[in-house]
Amino acid sequence: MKLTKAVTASPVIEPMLPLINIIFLLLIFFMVSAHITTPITGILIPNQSKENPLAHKDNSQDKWLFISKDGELTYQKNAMAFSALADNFHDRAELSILADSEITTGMLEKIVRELSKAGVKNLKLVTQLSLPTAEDDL
Amino acid sequence: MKLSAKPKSSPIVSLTPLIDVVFILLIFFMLVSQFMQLQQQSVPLSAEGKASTEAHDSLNIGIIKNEGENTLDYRVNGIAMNFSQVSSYLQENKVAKVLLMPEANISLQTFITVKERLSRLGIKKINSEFIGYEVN
Repeated sequence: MKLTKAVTASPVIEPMLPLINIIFLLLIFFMVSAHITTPITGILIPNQSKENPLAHKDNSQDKWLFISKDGELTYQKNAMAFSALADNFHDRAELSILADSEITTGMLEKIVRELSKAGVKNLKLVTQLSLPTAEDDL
Repeated sequence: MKLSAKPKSSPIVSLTPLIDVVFILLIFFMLVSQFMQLQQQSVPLSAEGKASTEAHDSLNIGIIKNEGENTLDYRVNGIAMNFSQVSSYLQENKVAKVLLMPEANISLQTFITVKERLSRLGIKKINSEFIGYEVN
């Protein structure tokens, strides 16, 4: 009678293979489908429920004017004074603005009017797609 | 004399470093990738002059923030209303064009939300004194 079981020399990696396969598939999925973007920090992007995608040519954050909720302006990672708007954008036909969702319309209006005076003809407000908000909260 | 060479066992390649690298790559791509498609709203800058001319043939709706209750009040032709009353008014009078006049302390998000709610009511053209919005 043989009591001891023969030890089979199976490779240790074998039970890990499905995991490795899944990880590879995930990796390929993320590499192929995702866009690597610079994170937008400090600004809460306004939501809109109507789809109107930003044109590919306007996707570069270097061309956006960032406006914080306190009205601070940033362009190409440099802070900009309100009084410098006209000098910086007098030759721009179009400009994309990423304004914080909490900025007041009064403050935004002031900036938009200044850009308009500077000669900017086409202004776009960058937003993100979201589900419509509840009907009873406004 | 030994003629037959001892068969060499193939070297075992450890997969652990490969898995480590793949994990790190996976985490990197998961963190830096963005699937969100950014959207846009056009801001017609001619609105400065346009608003005053369009005020005659549009219904003017003022948006006022109720500070205490964190709700909004609307002023339609000077009459205070809530949104459901505005909605009924627009549908009864078959209004197609609206000129929104938010108070200066209304947030951009609130303004966009109100515009979208009005567009869902069938308003074809919504303008404001600084931001235009045309429903296609």
